[in-house]
Amino acid sequence: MSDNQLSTYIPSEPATARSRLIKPAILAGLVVIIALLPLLLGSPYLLHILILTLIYIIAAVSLRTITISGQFPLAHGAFMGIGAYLAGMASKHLGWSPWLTIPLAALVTMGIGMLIGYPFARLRALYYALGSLFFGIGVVYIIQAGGTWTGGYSGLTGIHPMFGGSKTAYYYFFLGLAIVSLLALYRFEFSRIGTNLKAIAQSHLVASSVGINEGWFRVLAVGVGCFFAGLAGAGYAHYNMVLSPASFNFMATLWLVMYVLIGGIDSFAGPIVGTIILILIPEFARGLKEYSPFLSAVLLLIVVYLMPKGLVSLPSLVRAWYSERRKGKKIAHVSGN
Amino acid sequence: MALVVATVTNLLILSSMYIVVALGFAFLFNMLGIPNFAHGAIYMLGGYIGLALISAVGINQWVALILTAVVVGAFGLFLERFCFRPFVGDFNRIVMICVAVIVILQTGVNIIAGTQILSLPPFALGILKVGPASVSYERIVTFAIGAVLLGIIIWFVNRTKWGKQMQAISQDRLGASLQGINVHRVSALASFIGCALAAIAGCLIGAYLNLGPFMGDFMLVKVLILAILAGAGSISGIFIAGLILGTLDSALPVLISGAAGDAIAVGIVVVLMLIRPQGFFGHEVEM
Amino acid sequence: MKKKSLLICSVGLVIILAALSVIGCPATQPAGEKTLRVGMILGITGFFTVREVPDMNQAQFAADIINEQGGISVNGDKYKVELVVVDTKSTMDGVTAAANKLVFDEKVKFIIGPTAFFAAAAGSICDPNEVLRFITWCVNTPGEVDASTPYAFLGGNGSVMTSVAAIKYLKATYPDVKKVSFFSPDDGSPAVMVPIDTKLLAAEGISLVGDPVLYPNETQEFSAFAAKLNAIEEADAVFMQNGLVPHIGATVKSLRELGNYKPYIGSLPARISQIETITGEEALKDVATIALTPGDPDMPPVAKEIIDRVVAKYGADYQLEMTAPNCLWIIKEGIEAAQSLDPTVVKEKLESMDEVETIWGPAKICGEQTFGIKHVVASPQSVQILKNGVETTAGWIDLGYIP
Repeated sequence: MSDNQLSTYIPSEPATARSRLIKPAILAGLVVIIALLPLLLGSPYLLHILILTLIYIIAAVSLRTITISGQFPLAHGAFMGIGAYLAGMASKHLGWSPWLTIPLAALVTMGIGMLIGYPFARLRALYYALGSLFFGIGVVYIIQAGGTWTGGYSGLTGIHPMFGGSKTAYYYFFLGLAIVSLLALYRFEFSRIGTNLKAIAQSHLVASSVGINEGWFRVLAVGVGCFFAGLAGAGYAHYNMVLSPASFNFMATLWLVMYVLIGGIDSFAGPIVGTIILILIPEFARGLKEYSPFLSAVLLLIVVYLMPKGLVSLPSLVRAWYSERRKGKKIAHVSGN
Repeated sequence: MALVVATVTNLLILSSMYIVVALGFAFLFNMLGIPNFAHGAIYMLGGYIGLALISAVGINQWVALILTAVVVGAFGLFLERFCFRPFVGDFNRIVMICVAVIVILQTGVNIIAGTQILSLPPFALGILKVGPASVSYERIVTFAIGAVLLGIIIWFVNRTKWGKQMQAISQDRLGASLQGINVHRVSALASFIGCALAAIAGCLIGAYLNLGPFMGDFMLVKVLILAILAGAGSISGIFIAGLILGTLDSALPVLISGAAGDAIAVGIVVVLMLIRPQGFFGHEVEM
Repeated sequence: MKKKSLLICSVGLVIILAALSVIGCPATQPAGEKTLRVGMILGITGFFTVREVPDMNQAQFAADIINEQGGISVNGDKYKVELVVVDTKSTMDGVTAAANKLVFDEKVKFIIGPTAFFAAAAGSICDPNEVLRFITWCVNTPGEVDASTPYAFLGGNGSVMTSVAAIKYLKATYPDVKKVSFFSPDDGSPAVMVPIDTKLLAAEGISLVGDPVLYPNETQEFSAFAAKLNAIEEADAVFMQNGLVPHIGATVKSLRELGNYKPYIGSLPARISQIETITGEEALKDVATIALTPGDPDMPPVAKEIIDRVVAKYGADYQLEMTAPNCLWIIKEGIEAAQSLDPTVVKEKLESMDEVETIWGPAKICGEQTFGIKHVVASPQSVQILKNGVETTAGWIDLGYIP
């Protein structure tokens, strides 16, 4: 929120016919570019990075969806892992097709999430966070103890791929999946259910006094979030064809949380921005070799200290700073400098 | 029979190790509500600084132990002033800062000393044999130091003015400051003590085992478990929680082979948390 | 208001993506100089650096030696070796990303690495694109070097090789040992290694006794596991398969504390001098590992040259992995034997050979039964013990042909 709203009123540009056209035009241009990216880039490696980005976007946004109910889960990486391993094991041991394993894995993950979420829903914020943290760690240990079923510590191999060798097909698949998931999550958040969830987050007393069943809504939020986490994980399993428990451990969850926080937890677009930035920046930092983690750390610090609302708030921060300067110039002008 | 005796011995010593490391974290978390996820990294840093002091200055490991505690304690002051104080109550930002601190410390240490296997000189030599039990003096010393520190901290929290102020803050931060307690100074002190304790633990375990840039990750999980089982506002609870976890970690590997032991230990912790989420000894905290 | 910031963010991101596509194009090679770019998939950041960074540096020395000798000769041309290293960040995701980058962006045809179970992640990218890779260490988990990886060779070392050497040493040095207990990390390899080791031990008249004692990979405190090993009283010795220096150090220390001084044979490349920093000198009596000793008079000449350079630049305490340089050497030998830079031709040539020259001298190409594919280079192994307080080689063991 701009601090200067009371002190200065600078009217925004009136909407002309021309400016009304600009927005949809930019959007259309964006859509075209994203749709044609595989052809524009011409590098399968970058396509690989983009595919991973899409997968993590789904996971990050679904993580944020859970947080709007006031709970802060620290097990999202583990739920991705549950989805991934369910799909992977079904594919490897039972030979099921990816078009079957992916939705099934997502559904089962949702079920597990709701089952676990039910007893955890009673816990207050911090305890919920830590309880889910331990649950997540436990899941990873269970995967590691899984012997030949899960491949144990060294991972699960031999998962069937979805499309031959071409990354382009995967790109469009995950693009479609991401768009559908984001739409679903967006509708969920701004639906009646979503509004109820936000009410609960703000005050449980008020919410229950209006007749909202707190526990049931919290479990629902966790279920929805876990469904998409499982979906992302299952898709990842069929893309990567190899799974490792270390990809879904506490550090993985923590980085998913970073994607959300860096982007901005209060905005729907926040996790999207955060994921893209935090995945692409280290790619450019490859040249730094062993110093590259420092770049991510510095980025975290910059956001923490300078951008409390995350990267999505950057445009409004810039605008506020700009209007500060204009106000300053105006006052200087008026006082006859 | 020898196995049972060995398991009981391991239980005591493992518990004391976990307690020493967790005490520092508990100070910031249970007393002030700050979850310092970087505690594992600070514990690691303490071990390395201890070794650096011994190699560079040539002092013996006991002097290094005390010096390291002071140096890392000072780092704790810096952390509290610039990283925790501005964001008290904002769980999200504290988590982000902790991750940044962890990454910086781990990467830094890895670049400087990551490729070598390093260890501090032992704090005691020899093996004590009492009947069927056989323990090295080194582990006894670690246990003793842990017990002494735990005793000192419990005395500090319950009997001194500072300790009582910390208890007040953990119960009601606003109320405490209204009573005239300088919350900032108490927080700084808690951070100093917390990080100093982590550093001592790092040196002790770095002497008994070895140092590694990522040794903190493993300890962080144990520490979180102890802090949660103990509960907010409680230091004495760390003792019981430490015993519980020490028992699990010394008995389960004997009974169950391989990776399943870890899964069961965490499973038990999750169940305990569900039974009594606010911990067994503390009180509930709104956060 | 919200939608506008969303818009501006997306536009900014598209600009970044567009910039990416320009920067992401691989650099063109300078004309005139013939270079063979060999990729390396190793962990430069993350927990695996303790192993991978020394390996990478040692491979660079091997590359230097090859270049000093003129390079790799193919059809009258000489190619200098250039190593292209991509960081895996010690994660499976990182391995996949590194493999993608090397195969599609850098367009290399030969790759060194990854290590152990990380190797499985690179197969799905390298094999369909006919990129030949040489794994630096194999723990025999599915997908490393087996029938499903036609383009993977084991150029470094592996659990099977250290086992063969360790068991031969055990038999020769401790003829009275008839029963051993089995100790290993629970990382997916015991399922494969226990049967293999049982068979190898049985061939020497030794049997495995008690349940295999397995520990979770991230364990730091080993007193409970030492107690468990100690409780297997019928065992005359402990046989440890895989693991790292901290694991063997902590376990040996705890065992000795319990009064157990039975022989401890480590089938792993942990340097005795490093284990000593954890256990102290006394505990290492009757402990042996399969590791390299700098200054060893029997060191094969090429390896010796590399180790001398390592010691000169990094000191005598530096980790001696020496698996990546061996992989590079085998690549050179394979290319020169096949007189072709086509990975498929090189692969077929190596498969047809029985022996290949390595930095350790001649080694057999074998392994159809144990690994499922005749892609394993079995180099001689050096056993290491502590003698008179000094880390020494107890002898070199020629592995022969591993079926």
